Amino acid sequence: MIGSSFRERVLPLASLLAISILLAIAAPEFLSQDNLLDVLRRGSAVAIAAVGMTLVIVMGEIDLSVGSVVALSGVVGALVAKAGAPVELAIAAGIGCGALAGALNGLLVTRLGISSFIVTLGTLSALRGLTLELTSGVAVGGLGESYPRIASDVAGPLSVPLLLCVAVAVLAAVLMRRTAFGRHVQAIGSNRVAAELCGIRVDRTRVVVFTMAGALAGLAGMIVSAIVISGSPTAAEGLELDVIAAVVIGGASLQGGVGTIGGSLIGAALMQVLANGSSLVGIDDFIQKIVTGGVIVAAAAFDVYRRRWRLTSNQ
Amino acid sequence: MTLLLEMRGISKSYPGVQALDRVDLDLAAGEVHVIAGENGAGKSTLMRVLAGAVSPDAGEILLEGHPRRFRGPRDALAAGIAVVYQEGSLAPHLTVAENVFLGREPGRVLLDRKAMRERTGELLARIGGASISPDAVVDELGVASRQLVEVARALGEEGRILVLDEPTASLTLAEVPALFEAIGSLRARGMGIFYISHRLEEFARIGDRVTVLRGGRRVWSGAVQQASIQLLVEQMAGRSPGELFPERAPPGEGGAPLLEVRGLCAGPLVDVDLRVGRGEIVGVAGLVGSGRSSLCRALFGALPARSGTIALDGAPLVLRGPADAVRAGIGLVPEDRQVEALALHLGVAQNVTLASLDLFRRGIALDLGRERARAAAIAGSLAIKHRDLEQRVAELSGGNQQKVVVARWLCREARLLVCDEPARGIDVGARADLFALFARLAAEGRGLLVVSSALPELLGLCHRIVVLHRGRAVADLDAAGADERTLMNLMSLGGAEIS
Repeated sequence: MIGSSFRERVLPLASLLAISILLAIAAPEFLSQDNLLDVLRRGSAVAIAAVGMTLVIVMGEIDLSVGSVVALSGVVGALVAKAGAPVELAIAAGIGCGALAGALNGLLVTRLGISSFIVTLGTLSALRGLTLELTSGVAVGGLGESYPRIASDVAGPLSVPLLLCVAVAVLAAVLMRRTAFGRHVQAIGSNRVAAELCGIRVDRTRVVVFTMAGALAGLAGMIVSAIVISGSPTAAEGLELDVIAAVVIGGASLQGGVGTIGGSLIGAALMQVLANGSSLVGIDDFIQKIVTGGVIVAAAAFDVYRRRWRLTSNQ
Repeated sequence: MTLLLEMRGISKSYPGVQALDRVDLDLAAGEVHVIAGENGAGKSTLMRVLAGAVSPDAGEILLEGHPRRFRGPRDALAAGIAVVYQEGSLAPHLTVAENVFLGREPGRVLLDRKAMRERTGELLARIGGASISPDAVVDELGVASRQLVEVARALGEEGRILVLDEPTASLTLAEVPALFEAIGSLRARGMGIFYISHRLEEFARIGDRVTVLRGGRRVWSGAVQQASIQLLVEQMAGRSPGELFPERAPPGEGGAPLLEVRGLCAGPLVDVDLRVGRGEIVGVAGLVGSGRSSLCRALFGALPARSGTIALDGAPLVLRGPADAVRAGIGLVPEDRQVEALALHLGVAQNVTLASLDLFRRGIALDLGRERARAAAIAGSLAIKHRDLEQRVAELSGGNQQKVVVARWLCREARLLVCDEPARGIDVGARADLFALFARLAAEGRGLLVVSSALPELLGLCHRIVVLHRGRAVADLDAAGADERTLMNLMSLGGAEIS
């Protein structure tokens, strides 16, 4: 398993390195400490959400509500801080709010038997609406000096978000590879009926995974809101697509059963470096979107090609 | 007889595998030619070549003496070659008529629905499917009817050669005669038919000629009268497999009671009593709809019981779901292993341990070393052929996949194994292996409940056979004293004649 997943990840990793090297040559400021710090800090929020999304996708589900949950959590955190609560409480409130949203997704999916695509399409809209309603559409500003602490620098290119991201990824990787829970998630994604007939508590597991993904989106939301030191109700619009793209570029299959945390991290990094690099070398936003789209389709096409090759070589 | 089709020296290789090696095959008009061989023998590849879905590396195809080259399935279809694949290829939400004319709808701009319906009715009538309404939605049809729709669609109005890939695999005994009748009427109309099957006992009933493939080569071909079961088994396996069924040992541990079911009502089941002793293999016979699969599911907690009691080793069980059954020591080998049992993306070891991960907990983490060792030991003792423990089960043969499912319950140390059609889609050689394994598990003191629609299997393997008829257990026979005729009678009439 380690051997094959290593091979499967070589191409994304190699393209990440190749693009980074090209970028370092084309735009030397790419490697400047300020730039790296900024890229890694922003990328960490996406990557943390992508870790949660990886669990959801490996389980054979999807969560389209990530962007809305990120915004809602940031706003709730900011409102709590503005009410005078200490920043730790604000952060806990943001994460808890994300977990609640995730649990809502999970319960709607399992109890009503509606596909997660539909349920989270609904919460994508509803939670965004709730966020706008809470704030009357105006960003929550005027937050205390301690508020941005969760996004602060540590040393060199290291920042708190980056360290959090690494910790979250390591924990999630251990969860997926070394615990019964992780194995159950993968089995449910591979064959839900079989998992049920193995005595696995399938619905409970599904609710827990959606809740975890929500909590991680909440954490990402607190980081995003700390970076700009405000709770913006329009933050992270369309973020769900970046997050899903990161997971897919990392080799996960939307059919479920396949995907790794490491792959998703590489996918998230690739997306971030592409965006940063494009602006550094002066490619405008519009072209950037085209490039990003091309990369997503190319990554998926490569995956299909690789699978087909493996299938014929095994016959 | 005129030769409809000749295939000469067909070869096809894939990376690392010679799937077909200079195979010759021909087919006459008005003939049913049976193609036999184990999984991987090349039957499917050969038929895919004929259907234009695979282009051969070498060899030629002659249709009524004229060489033809198929660049794709459309070419083969246009030449009158119709293939009905095992998996089925109907669109379940469309009607019968819409399916039959899928891809060649009559009418210029708007569909000529009336013509579609009428011509579908005619096509179906030709193959004995007059009772199927062209307006029925395919989803609502039974397996047997669907198959006739597949045949009608494949043949269309111009088909001359029909390929049937394991058509009886998904049918029950009662449904088979209707299919054979359809085949017979097509043969009488001068059509040539290739019939691929694992069920040796069918060959004499349906075939004119038999060709056996093994390892991509043609190893035997001759009239069906010369093809005894013994000879076919030897040719397919390339060795003499000995007896298909293991020596019947008396129930291990004297058959002390293990499972006791009383008055079970669940789904179609009405008031079913059932007993399985330790070391005993109990067969369940019944037609489709008799409640065979429901019984399996009810015993595993996957189908809620309305009333009745289930006791295991004397202790009453309350089954709220499969998790309860698993914890009590019951294992299910479901009817369709790919759909209901295997996590195809996971490896051999992970599939074996999937139902017993709680046994390998160390703190909150899994003890991967202990898990692997246990999986390796069980895979070894069951002689599961695999490259390594991480090999995905999707890559294993049917027989080995089934052993993985059994291994899963041995890993859990299940006391009772409930097996729904365990030998379906498995090679002859592997089947003998599986039955020997069942006998061994029984000798170790486990109880087995085996549902099968193949009566010789039940008679050869089990100690006792329970017959289900319309949800009721109508008989409980000693297998040694039973025969197929008695069983068939009970299955179809519920013993009305006997009692």
